[in-house]
Amino acid sequence: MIRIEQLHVRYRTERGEVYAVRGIDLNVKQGQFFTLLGPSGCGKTTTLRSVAGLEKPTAGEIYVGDEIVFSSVKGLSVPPYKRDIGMVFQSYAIWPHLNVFENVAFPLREMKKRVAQDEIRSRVRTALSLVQLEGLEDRPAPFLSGGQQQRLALARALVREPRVLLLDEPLSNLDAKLREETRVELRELVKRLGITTLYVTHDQLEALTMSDVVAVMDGGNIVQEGSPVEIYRAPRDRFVANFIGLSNFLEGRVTKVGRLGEVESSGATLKCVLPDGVATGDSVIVVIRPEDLNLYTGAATQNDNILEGKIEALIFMGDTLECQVAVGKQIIRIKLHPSSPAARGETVRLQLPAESCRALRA
Amino acid sequence: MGETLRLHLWQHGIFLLILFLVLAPLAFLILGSFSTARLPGDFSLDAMGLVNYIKVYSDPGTFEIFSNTVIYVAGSTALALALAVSLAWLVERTNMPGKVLVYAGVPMTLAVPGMLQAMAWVLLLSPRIGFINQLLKDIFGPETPIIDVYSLGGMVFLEGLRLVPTAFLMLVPLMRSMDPTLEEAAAVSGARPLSTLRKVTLRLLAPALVAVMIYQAMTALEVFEIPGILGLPAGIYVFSTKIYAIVRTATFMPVYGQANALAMVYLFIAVATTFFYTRMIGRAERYAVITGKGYRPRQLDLGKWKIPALGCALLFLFLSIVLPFLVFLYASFLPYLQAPSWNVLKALTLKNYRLLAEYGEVGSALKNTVLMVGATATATVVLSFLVSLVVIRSKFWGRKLLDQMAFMPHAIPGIVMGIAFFWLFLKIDFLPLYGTIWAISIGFTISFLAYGTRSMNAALLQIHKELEEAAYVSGAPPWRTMWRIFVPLMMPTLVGVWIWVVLHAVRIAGMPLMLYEGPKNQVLAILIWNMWDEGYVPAVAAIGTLLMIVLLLLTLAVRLLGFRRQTMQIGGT
Repeated sequence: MIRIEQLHVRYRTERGEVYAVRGIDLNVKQGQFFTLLGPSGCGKTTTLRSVAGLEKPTAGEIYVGDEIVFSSVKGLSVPPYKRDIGMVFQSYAIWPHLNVFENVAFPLREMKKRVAQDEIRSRVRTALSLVQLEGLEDRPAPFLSGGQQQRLALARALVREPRVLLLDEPLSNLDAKLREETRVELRELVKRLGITTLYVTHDQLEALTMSDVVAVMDGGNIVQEGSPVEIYRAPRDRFVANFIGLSNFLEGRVTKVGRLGEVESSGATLKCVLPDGVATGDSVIVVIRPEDLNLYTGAATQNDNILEGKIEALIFMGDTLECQVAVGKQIIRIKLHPSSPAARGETVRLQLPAESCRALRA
Repeated sequence: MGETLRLHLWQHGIFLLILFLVLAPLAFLILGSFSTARLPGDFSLDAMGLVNYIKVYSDPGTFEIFSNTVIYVAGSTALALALAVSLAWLVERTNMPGKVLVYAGVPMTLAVPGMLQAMAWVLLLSPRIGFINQLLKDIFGPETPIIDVYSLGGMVFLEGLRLVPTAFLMLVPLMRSMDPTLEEAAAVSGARPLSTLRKVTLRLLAPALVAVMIYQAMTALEVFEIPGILGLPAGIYVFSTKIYAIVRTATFMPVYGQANALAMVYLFIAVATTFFYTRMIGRAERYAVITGKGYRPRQLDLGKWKIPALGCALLFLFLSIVLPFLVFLYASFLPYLQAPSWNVLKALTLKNYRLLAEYGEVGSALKNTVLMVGATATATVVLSFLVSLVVIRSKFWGRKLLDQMAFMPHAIPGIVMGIAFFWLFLKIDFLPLYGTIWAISIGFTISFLAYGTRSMNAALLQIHKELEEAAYVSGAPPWRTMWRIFVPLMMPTLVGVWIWVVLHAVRIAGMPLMLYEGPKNQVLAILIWNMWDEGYVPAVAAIGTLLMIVLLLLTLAVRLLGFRRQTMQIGGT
């Protein structure tokens, strides 16, 4: 539904040239919820704005549906007002001089084919009921709460029933509690409408909970693309592992090859999942999530993948107790149940389940 | 693609139009200064030389003009700054009562045209007819020394008063947003209130004060009406009035080239000051005193000085707005000019107002003024809006240059602009503009472009970019977006600039006098000037009274609009 091929975006600012997007390809299928995830400056918003036509790419091709909307080779660039899209902006961009009804009616009034008054009224009402804003038609837009503005922006983006919905960090201006509720609602709504959605966020939780496919971006490139589970469970490089969730990194050297190979690290031998094509003697980084580790104060029930260390710090975080264990010169973080009896200075043993340890090429 | 092309076309169109309107008159001003022909009409590139420069700058009178200008500008700026700092300090940093009178009253003084204010003071302080001088003579005998307003001192005093409101409006936000902890730190270090004021407050404000001072000096340098009314009759010339005198005095054949040669220096001084000012502004902004946080600065307790302080503030308002208005109101009911007395009160008449209604020239001047002012205000608003859209919201290659071009007329004194357009309209005679009100309109529009674009730039910057983009992705092409998003969101600014231009175009006499050709393009300001010149004082007073009332109402409207703008939130969230 959205296809991007070899997209490059370079632009000049007062501080010099910015190479925002460096040749990305992606393909969003009909009805898919596709998320671009990455830190600020990774090029995700530039990519989204290129699809909308608000940014002029330097090179590449963009298709929306079957229609080509940008091609540097063909010298083609369809202006944003002729693309079949709906968009929600980070600031919501609710026009303060129009009331709720007129904000939603705006796209209909700008349609090439004149829409009859009656139809405008009924379509605006439908769009407002989708986002539960019925009855607020006459309210001046500045008198809405943040959550209401966000839903109004969504209604405005949906009212033309576009083929593609573009969302630019639509939840970042809401407070934490509301954001959590809206995540679920938003996903359910676009899934129910079956509309293809391209979503941009820097919030990993949003990406993981809402998306069908997540593409993690860094420095203008897509570094990994996959389902939320794949991205979280099997990060392909250190950046992804670091950016999404908490990870422990252990440096080591491969001593035995195989699907479950062996890596020597911190004076111990660890069984772990090796990437394809590594050889004995290669340097690797073993990644393990804090919630995957087991901690024993006495004897461990298993003898495989054991590291010994001393508890350096305990941080109470409400739903978990984060325990920092010094193993040699490294600190390993573990998530414990908040009522765990661990104590600072205690000597403990860490067990690393082999299937949860993933080695990445260093 | 067609739309992109159209966008490019209109951007280039605006660019070329502004470039032409700003540079063409300047080019003629410069060429004219080298022209050895006597009249602009005889100008040819073969008859060029330095004659005008030699003539003007070997004249000992030119040095006197220079020193007069320096005294007049420096004196009025110093007076204005002292008054404005005191007033701003009183309302912002002390517990003086009745502040609201000062807040409301000081900006209103902007409504009184300088020409009328000067005339009112002539009625009070001229050596022969001045009411105050006559009163002094009546009390102390005919040998009493009188106060002569036709002097450099008179010019300094009056222009000093006139510069106060702008300086006050620039200083109030500075005083308000200053971090009070800086002063508190001085206080806990043992400084008494007055030495804190001297050693901390004023020092911190110094860069901003210098910027305000330069701005005021630029204004004083440019003004024509005050030195025109008070200096010309006594033969005291400054740059603006000398140029006018060369061109317009009927005693000898005017030598237009000499006016241009003189204008070149005048222009150079003005441009240099503007350049200095813009650099100063940049530096002042780097001072970290004004942080934009909402402070509530400490207020000094004036104690027993409260009432005297208010008295001084009200005296300023009285001198700059109430007294001129009362003088005009009084004179407008006189059968002939005379000082107030019981006998006069019995003879008061409506004759002058009736005369205005019957006198044909008033009607045509009024019609001309309405047309000229309306056209100027509308053209300024439309042109500034389009220029600012290109400057702020487009990626047009020449947008920086366009912005600078639109700002440049700010540095050009009205009289110089007048003489430059005078040459331009005479030379491009295929357009029948010379001697029409449209000539005046075009000249004013260029002059006000700087103000218009500054206001529009600021307003456009406040409109979140995504409000515009949301319109595009909703299917609105650029011109629809302009019409449905920018115009309504900027309505307060558009109306504000429109009224501001009306207020200024109606009162300025300098430039229209340079382009004046006769009844066909006589506007109100010129009519008043001419009638005053010919001695129809009570009639002038009648027009002036009506004009002041209209301008005061308009100013009030701007203020109310300004308040509404502050409460209207413009932004995405």
